[in-house]
Amino acid sequence: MSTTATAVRRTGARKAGRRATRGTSGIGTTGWVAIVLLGLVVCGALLAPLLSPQGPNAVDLSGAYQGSSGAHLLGTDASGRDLLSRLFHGSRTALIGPFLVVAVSTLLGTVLALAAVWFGGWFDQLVVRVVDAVFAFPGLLLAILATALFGSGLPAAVVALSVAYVPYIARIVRSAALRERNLPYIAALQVQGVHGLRIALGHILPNVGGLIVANATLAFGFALMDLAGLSFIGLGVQPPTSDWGAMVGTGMAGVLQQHPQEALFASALIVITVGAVNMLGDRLTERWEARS
Amino acid sequence: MPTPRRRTSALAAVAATTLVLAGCSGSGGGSAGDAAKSSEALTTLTPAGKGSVDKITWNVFQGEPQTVDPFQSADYTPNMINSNMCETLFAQTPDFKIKPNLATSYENPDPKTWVYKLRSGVTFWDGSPMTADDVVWSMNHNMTKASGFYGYLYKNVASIAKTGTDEVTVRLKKPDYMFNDELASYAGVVVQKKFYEKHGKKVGTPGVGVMCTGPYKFAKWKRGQSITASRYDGYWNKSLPRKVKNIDFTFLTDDSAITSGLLSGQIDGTYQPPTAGLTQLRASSAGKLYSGPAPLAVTLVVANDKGAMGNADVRKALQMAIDWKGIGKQVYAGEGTPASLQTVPAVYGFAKDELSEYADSVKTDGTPKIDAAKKLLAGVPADVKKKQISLVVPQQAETQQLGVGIKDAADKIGLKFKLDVVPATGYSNYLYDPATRGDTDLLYTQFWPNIPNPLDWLGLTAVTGGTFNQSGYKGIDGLYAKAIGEKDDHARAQLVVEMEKKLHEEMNPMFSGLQLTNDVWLGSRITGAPAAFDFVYYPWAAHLGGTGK
Repeated sequence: MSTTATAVRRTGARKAGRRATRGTSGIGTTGWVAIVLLGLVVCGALLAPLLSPQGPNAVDLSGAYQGSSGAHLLGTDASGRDLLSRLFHGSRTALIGPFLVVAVSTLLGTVLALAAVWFGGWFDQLVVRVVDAVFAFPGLLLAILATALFGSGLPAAVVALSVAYVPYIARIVRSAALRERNLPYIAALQVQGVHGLRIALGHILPNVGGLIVANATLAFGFALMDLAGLSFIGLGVQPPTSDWGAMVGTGMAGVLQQHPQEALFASALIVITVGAVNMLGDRLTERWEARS
Repeated sequence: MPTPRRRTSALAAVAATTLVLAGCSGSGGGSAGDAAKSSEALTTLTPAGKGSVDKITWNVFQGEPQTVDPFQSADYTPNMINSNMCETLFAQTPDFKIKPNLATSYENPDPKTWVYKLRSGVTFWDGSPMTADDVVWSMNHNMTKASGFYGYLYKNVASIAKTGTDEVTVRLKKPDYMFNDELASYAGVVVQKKFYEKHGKKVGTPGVGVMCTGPYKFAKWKRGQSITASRYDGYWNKSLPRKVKNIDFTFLTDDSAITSGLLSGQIDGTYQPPTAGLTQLRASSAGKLYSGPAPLAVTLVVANDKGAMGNADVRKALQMAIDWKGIGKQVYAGEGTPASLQTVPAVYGFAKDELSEYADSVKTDGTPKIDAAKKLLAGVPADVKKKQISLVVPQQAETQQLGVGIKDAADKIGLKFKLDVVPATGYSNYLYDPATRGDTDLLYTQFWPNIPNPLDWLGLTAVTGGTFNQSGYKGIDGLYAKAIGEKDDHARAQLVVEMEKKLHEEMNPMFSGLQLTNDVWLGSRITGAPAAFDFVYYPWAAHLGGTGK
């Protein structure tokens, strides 16, 4: 009887936690500022074809390095391409890449962590050792190796970074799930004959969901930086496709020629987006910690 | 991935600062090309130096060489260093003439025999005299050493023999009237036989270096840092000033680092300073930027004739659509002008009059002609047009921009075009390794020939077996063989014009791209270096001297 009561109490707390995590209440002013900034960036990406005054790849060599004008609000780059249009379109690759990295690594990391916690024993030890081994590899180095093997471009970089980020997610989820696994309500559910898969997915996962979302948010920022770095050194998004990281790279020649706007605008957007993502991630983490 | 930290405030501050800077940066408009002194006459030799200088730092822009062995030197970096250390039988002077050097004269008693008289009083850096044995050994080494670059120029050579204490005779299998001129490249380099036999495969490495007769001797190679060459005081050619005692060759490749080094005076000079830094260098009082004539072309090589590039109309349409003028002005900061032919005027050599006349007759302004290109493409079969054309360029600011410009041209005329940017360090594999380039259709190249002779250029790019004839083009093989064996300059020139006409009409296997000028930056302490492109085989540093500053 008492065991059943404990299980009900924990499940009730979990539901409250899920509601709070999914909502936006309690994330404070900085959280709201972050959401607004990210909303603007996402809108820019979604509406890029509508918002862009010109095609992002429309070359006009006679109009290179133009200043701000009615035709080009932010000026043009070394090939005479409209910077505003390239920034709008560049936000797409800048957001899609990290999103894929976070989605894949979170899915794989979470499944791995839950399986390790549930089965325990040698399987858990094996997962821990493998995760430790992969964790020793810097993600960026792994991505550089992948592009060397499979060629430059976003797909190879995304796959490599996804693999590199799995240990990070798996470690955090495992430690939280392990704590849940040892709570009395799990034992109660087992006594009631609830299937292990159902306990893991229906009870443990929702209880650590807030943490997963918070860390995925933070990981998004890091993935954006890593992918922008790869594009900056020419291993990520390939020209002429517009991308913030690649624009910082190609804009470096402009800096030497006293036309820094391409590199500056692109790097500013990277900084703002990563900053906003980190702010939101921090608030979500604080909120989860306060509730658990 | 690092552990998350609470750093949002710092990031926000950086973002704010960046935005302010962006707002303040302003855009002056205009372009690098606007700043180019395109109207200025080109300089062949910069003003002669007066005073002596103990030591200078000179940057070689392509990074550290693999070797300083002249037999294996065929690129900017090793040649820029080696040209001051190892000499050739004939010399290419800054005015693109071929003149006597270690050989004082030659005779051609019959079409298949060349007899060379050697200069007396020439010594290696260890003081031992250069002998006919050294010359014979060097030529034989070039002919037989598989790792050497210049062996292909000896394909018509039957024998090389010492025929006197100061005489060497070369017998050919068949007449080859380009062979003699090629001895002004490292095909005619002379090294010390004794040194090579002693050190074998270690020659050219940091610990061993080389043993030659040039005005500067190999002194020190600090791996990853610099190569030092010191003045050889026993040098035979007293007409060269040789006012600089020691030269440290550094290997910076980053545009910003090179430009900063030049502006700050930490680097005294360089050939071909970064295009992106030209605006700042032109405006600076820390030194002077000179532009000289050059046998340099930026162009596209047809690497695969099985795809869409196998169709002459597709090639010609793409050539018409490319804004070569804009690329020359903007991407190459005004240092590139549209070329009429696949070869450029600085290499016309013996065919100068004939090729100039033909070049003038097909001259274009290099502006894109989209409508005409589309019209030409209209007659191309649909299955050819739908094939994707791939272009590979190295990842450098200007080559990437060039690639974007060419893709834009292809897009405008409806061709299916893919641009691949690969790391600059691995790009040469695309040029030399068929497995690496696979079915790549077009390759970027900045091309220069061994000698100012159009036959040398065509032999490398458009004749079967040529290093840069990646598609295996064979349309001028017969004419080329005939021209090589033709003694009369005018008759040979006519054959060259015939070849150029065919290549131009087919726009194959190279596009008519841009002819470039050669830039040299000389810091305020030094002057005298040739501004003409003559740093690959000629001892350019022997002209340097101090300005007294």
